[in-house]
Amino acid sequence: MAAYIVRRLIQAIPLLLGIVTLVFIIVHAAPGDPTAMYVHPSVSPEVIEQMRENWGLDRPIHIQYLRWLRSFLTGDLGVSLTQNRPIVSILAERIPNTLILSGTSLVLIFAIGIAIGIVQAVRQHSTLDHALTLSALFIYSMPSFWLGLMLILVFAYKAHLLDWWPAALKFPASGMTSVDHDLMSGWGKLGDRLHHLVLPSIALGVASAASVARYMRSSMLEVIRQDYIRTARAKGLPERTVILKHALKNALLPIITLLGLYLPFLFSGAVLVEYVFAWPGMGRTIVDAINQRDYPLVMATSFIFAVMVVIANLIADILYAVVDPRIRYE
Amino acid sequence: MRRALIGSIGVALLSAGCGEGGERAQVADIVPDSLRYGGTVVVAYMAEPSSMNQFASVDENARELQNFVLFTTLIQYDENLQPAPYLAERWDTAATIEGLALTFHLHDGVRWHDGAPTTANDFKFTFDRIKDPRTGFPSASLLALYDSAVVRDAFTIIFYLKRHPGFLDPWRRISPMPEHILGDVPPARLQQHPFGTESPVGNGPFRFVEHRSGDRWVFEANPDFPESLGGRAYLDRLVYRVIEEPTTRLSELLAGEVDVYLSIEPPQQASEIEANPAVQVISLPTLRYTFINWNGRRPLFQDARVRRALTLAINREQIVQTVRNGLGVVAKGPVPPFHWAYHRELEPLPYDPDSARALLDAAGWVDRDGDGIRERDVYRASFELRTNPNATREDIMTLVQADLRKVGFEVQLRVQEAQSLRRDITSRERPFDAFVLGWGTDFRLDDRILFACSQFDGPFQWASYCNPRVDELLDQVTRLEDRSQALPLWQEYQEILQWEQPYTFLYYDVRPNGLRTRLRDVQMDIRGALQNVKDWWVEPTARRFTP
Repeated sequence: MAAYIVRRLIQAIPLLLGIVTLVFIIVHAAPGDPTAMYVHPSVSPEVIEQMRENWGLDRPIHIQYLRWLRSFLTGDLGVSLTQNRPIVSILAERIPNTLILSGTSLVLIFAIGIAIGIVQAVRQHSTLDHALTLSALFIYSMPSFWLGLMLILVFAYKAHLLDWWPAALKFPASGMTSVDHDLMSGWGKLGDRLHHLVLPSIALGVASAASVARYMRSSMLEVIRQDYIRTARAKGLPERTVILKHALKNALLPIITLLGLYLPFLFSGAVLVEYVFAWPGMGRTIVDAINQRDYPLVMATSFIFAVMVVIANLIADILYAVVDPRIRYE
Repeated sequence: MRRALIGSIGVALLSAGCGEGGERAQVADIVPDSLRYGGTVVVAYMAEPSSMNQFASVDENARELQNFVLFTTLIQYDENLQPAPYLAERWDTAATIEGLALTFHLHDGVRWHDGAPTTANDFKFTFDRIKDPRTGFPSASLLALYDSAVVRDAFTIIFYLKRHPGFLDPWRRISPMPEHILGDVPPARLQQHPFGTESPVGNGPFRFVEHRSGDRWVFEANPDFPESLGGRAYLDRLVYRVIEEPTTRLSELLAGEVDVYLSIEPPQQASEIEANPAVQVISLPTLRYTFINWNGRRPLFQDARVRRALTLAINREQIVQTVRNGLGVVAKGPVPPFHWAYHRELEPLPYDPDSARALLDAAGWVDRDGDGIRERDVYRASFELRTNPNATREDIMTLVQADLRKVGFEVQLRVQEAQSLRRDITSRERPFDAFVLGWGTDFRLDDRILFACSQFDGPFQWASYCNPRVDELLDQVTRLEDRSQALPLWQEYQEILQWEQPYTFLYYDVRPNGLRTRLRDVQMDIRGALQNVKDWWVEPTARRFTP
């Protein structure tokens, strides 16, 4: 297994190099450059030229690429041209925030999706099944940013106007923590963070949860028709044990592979959700960096996203082997 | 609703900032000064202030935080935009052979937040770094006519400069940088020093607490701020948050999570804020105007009569009312109403499609083939109007297209990504017909880069406009120190531009801000939304929970 992981990681190197090279070419091919934000009547052209020189933008493009590659390979991600600070410290602030958001969403997706899928499979063709199918399709078709705005409208704004609405269900619409966060007690801080996580993680995850539920339903239906389930029932086991102990593990197999597929999906979804909820994560960083042509920051953030996707896929493959003993990676 | 809104803007423009609602003013009177201290105020804006490092930032929101929150400048502008003492207790000038010696006598009680006193050496350091090209200070042109700085003693600094109008102006916006922290940093590395975003040390009414990138800047009151400069600010903490999505900003203001929503955008949100009694809108004039640039190198736009006809044919009042929700003032020219040189007697061109048609006929642009579009010789009155992705400007383009269609122009609209549009309009070839954009003016106005013949190929001479008389006027007004002498020249300049219309000046921007009414004594005006932040206070009973 260890050898397999190492091999996969080594294989990822040329892939990642290809990705960053492609990103470099594309972002430099776009019109404009990072000095654009300094273009202002009070800024003389000489100052702009000086900046281009300071940032090495006056060099030919292949030289810029080689220079960037050299410092990148030695572990130096450079300095953001728009935020004027080392990219490493920007990433150190932003990556955990995105991981918290997508991690929570991921848990939410699978917990809700699997639970609903099981209920639907067990009660196949019941009114409940139809109602859940309908709502799953409804939710699945909703764009995350729109859903986010609707959640804000109802749970952050309208709820504040109602006196009888319980305070715990009035959710903050933006940011990761309240302004009074630093003044709170330990448990208060945790509660505050969770409170801020509710709306964005629902907005980010609920559509995927709906699709996981669809997969789970069909996978479960397939499993409970098999002979060993009939045997389990014939033994006189309670239905609960049959479903949760015997059927669930096998039905989960195809769902696990979804994990690897959903992570990249979550990261890209995070771009919009972070924007709507003013969540200080990677998604907004990369969008701002692209708009301002902050070349070093674009390179670093797209590299990090690529690494996250590679790792997510690797995790999915490993999990697959964990749930299915027949699978062996040699 | 609409009418009330327009009314309040009128008031705001006249009095440069408006106060609180009438019935609440009485509450303010009975809260004694001692009870006004305390509380947290959250300000939300769409973009993040780039840096507290004066040498690195160019954005207006960073400048406001530097000048009004974290640092103390040498002078301030009073409500009439006259220089008033701040960190400099007084100043005097003396004539020299080269020009002028300007001596500032500094307040001796202002300390950096780490305890070190702010002295003349800090200003000398700041001045020297600004003048050093290796620093790459973006607004170095502010001090273009300043030659050198000499420290006479710890609290006296002398600047030698060439005489020019508004020579004090730079010192209202240049915040001092601490020499004892940044003195050893090589100039070329100053912009990227962690001082700007991770550990700024100021000398102003608030000190830095925390910065979380993409999220917030937190400041707290500086208890040692000298009494003679206003003393400790009333607020305990000031939190500046970044919320990019407009609907989220609105919702956070209405829910009370945010106290001040800077620059309500889109302006239609202002009606919703006005409808809620716990919040109010303060509209203030800005330094900006919105315009359409006509590329004077194109045959269609070469004739001033055609450009005047274009302006007459565009219903600018309608644009202000519908697109900006009444938040704007129909413009007459490049000098906004806040400016002392604004031409008060000049009337803006009216909306008059019939005169526009007559002018176009006289200029030889007639519809000969009956397709509804005018022609002259081989040219058709057809052009492309562009802008950057911006809801307001896209709506403006649509209205302009419809208005111009009525007088025989065919307009194609194009929304172009900001940087690629910028590349096109600043290139020497001027590969465009016309565009809608905004322009930021300044207290010290110099329009030569926009309209001078010498700038014909420069990056901002988008109209390719050249009139020797305008050149003369623009040169003279940058030299005349006596405003009464300069005013007639400024007025003549505005009259000429009114007649020749290198731009169609659409409107002077008005900036609406949303405020919780529990926040008191907020006076926002042309100097900035945060200009009196140290006087803000929150009603004691309406403060956020603090343990």
